[in-house]
Amino acid sequence: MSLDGCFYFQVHQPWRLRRYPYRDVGHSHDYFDEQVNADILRRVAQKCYLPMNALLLELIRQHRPHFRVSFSISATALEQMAAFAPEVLVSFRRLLATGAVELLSETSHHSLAALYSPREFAAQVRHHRAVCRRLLGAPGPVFRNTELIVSNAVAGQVAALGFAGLCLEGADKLFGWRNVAAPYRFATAPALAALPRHYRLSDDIAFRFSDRQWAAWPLGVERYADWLQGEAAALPPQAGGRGFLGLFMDYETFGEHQWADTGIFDFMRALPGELLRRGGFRFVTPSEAARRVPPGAATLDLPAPVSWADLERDTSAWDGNAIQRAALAEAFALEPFVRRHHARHAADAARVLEDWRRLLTSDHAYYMSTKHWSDGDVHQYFSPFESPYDACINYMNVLADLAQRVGAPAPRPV
Amino acid sequence: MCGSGDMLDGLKRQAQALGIGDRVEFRGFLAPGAVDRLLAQSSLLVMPSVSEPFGLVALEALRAGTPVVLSRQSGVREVLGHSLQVDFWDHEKLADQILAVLRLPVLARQLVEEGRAQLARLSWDESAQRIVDAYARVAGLDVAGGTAT
Repeated sequence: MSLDGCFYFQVHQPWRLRRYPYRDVGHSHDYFDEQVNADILRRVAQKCYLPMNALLLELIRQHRPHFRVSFSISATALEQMAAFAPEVLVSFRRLLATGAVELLSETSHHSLAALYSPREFAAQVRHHRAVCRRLLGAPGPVFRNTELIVSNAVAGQVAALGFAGLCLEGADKLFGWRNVAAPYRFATAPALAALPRHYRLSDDIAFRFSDRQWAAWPLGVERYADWLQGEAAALPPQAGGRGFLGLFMDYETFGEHQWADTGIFDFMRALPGELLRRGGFRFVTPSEAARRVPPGAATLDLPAPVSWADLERDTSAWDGNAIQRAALAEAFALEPFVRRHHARHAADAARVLEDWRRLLTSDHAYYMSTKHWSDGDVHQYFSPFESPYDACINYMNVLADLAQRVGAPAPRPV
Repeated sequence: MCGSGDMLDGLKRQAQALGIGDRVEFRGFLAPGAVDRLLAQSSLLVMPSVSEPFGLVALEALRAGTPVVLSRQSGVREVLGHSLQVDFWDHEKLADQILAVLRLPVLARQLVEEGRAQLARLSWDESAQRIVDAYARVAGLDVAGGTAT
């Protein structure tokens, strides 16, 4: 029994809004906080992107040709790198040049378009591909939707765009007693191989690594490799002797969420060597993993969306309360007006389209979440606003201005 | 504006001077039932206090189904996360919050629903018990068991 391990790192930065008071509506079309966005991107570049890219390059060279990784990088992150820290793009290009690194496809603006507008979803997937090509290189044939949000409907849209595989959360509510490492396809889109995230082993690195209350702290590579071998031993017969292990996590895990002094970089430096030394473990790219899923594999049925967020593993982080749902509905209701404006080749057409898409980035809705709000939870940790309500008011002010620019009627009160 | 006090005449003159005399109603002193009715008729209660040890009126407004904007320099804001909050000196943000509640009924509704849920967890009994518990902790007493630990 052996395992195909697939590291996929998510790289995303939203265009954060500046404080946009209502009196600016109709007067100022500058929505984004250049300084804050530049500061955050440069800080994360220094703490995570640059050192971790350097480490991965070193590991790829050291273990050539056995070590592989993959990235999904939103276009909003890529454009910010180009604007504020172009050396990060250079380091990503160096990684891609090794041939051991694959890019996943996603929506350009890390949006929820798959849930609201199939047309905009397809447009953003194309746009993402174009931005990747321009700045880094073409993404491969495997897709990853925003926050791993997948349903039968989403899988159908992804399959229609010609992809070979789709990443998803290996959620208990979806897999139940079934082994997440076995090969699967999607019931409603059998052309797509399913690449599930092993959430426990992924979160051991992404969340628990520095937790001193955790029984396994401090986590060393030997123990972690033991766990992976345990997964291989537990593979069901239908896996054909080889299982898939999806280790999917935010790239900012390395150096930003888990600081360098937790030993996270040393852990990653030692891990590939330890796994390769033991045997029975192979690093694969998502496209290699998708190719290995046989045509007749068992299928997954997802009537409701599953994501990698929060304990609920659903979409409630973005649409769980009334103000979030109203904001999302309002933003997507502008689509026909933005398109008409664009088709008229107005002087500001490209800028308006880009501004609208930046507002579709899921982070804006995430900041409005009031889930566990009284506990001051993870949503607030990431939010630049003092409260979900301030996030909502600021966002709705900006939308009111954008609506005027594209000649949309003032939003009806809901 | 309801209630009476030393500043009432001055405020009336100020409203006239600002040219908004026809937009501001001074109701004077109101009996408790009348206060509740007035709160229920209001779109919003704004409490822009420079300093407010607690601010019970915010809870009364919520009970009447009216959303609240609270000064961050008030005590009540600590127990009412589901409210709009603003530093008393931040006029621009205060104006934005007032406009948003009037413009976005969905926001007003959520503030009231969530705020009332928080309100339901507040009671004098609860507060009294927490004070008793705090004293007991300091004194090293086990109140529940009635014995010193």
